[in-house]
Amino acid sequence: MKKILVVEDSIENGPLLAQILQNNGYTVRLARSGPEAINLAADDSPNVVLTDYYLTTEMTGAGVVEHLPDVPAIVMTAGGDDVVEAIAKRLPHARVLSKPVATEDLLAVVRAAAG
Amino acid sequence: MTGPPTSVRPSHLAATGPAMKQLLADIDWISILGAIGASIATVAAAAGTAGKYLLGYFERMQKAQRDHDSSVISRVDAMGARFETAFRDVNQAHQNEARQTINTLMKIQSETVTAITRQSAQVSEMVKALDDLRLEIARKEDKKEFAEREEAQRLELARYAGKTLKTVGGQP
Repeated sequence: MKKILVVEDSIENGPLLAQILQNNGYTVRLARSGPEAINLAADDSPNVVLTDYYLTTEMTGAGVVEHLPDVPAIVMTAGGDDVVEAIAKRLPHARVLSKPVATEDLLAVVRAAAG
Repeated sequence: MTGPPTSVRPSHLAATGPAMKQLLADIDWISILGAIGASIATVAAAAGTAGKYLLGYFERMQKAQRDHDSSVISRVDAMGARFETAFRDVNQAHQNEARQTINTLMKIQSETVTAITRQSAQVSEMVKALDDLRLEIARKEDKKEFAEREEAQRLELARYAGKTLKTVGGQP
């Protein structure tokens, strides 16, 4: 079973994402900050990291992805097209999604990233 | 003695006169021949001595020449060895100098690469920090739209999760 590390500081979206992914057959670990995500990844290496870009701590989702260079990454943001473009430029190997994303589309991207 | 033997008597004297015959008869041929033989032996002995001397001389000359040749060869060998040693020393000195130069250059290169790498990493971190700051500013400037997108995502996830619960779990 593929392991997904979800990094989301929203107290509503994080659990919803985790629930949806679990219902689709993934093992999910949920972190609410960048440092917590890095610690979880060190304990149990994930197959995919799915992270929000804006997190409440000083580390962004980009920082999380850069700490896990060998893990396929998906970054979501509500920042609009300019932010999506900036993230894609900074993280050329990551898949960048602009919120709101249709859940079926998100699951398709997760499947592709998990391999 | 009655006269010289016929074999040693000159034939052209056969017809000489009595006085001559008497004279020839009186000559002590044996003594003369003996003296001649002795002289020849003496000359031969002298020649032998001279030959021995010459032989010895030549042998000594040959030995001296050989010794001289050996000496020259030894000196040439010694010169060659000294030259080889000197050349090796000079060559070794040049090699050491070249090696030190290469080591110095490699050290400088390594330090330069390290410094450039460190500076590059610092610049990269600064660029990332600026990116984060710029995006954070963008979020605050675009606060209303940002919140709307987050809310739309929440609704989408909630909708899907609710549908999945009903479909997969069979529970409301």
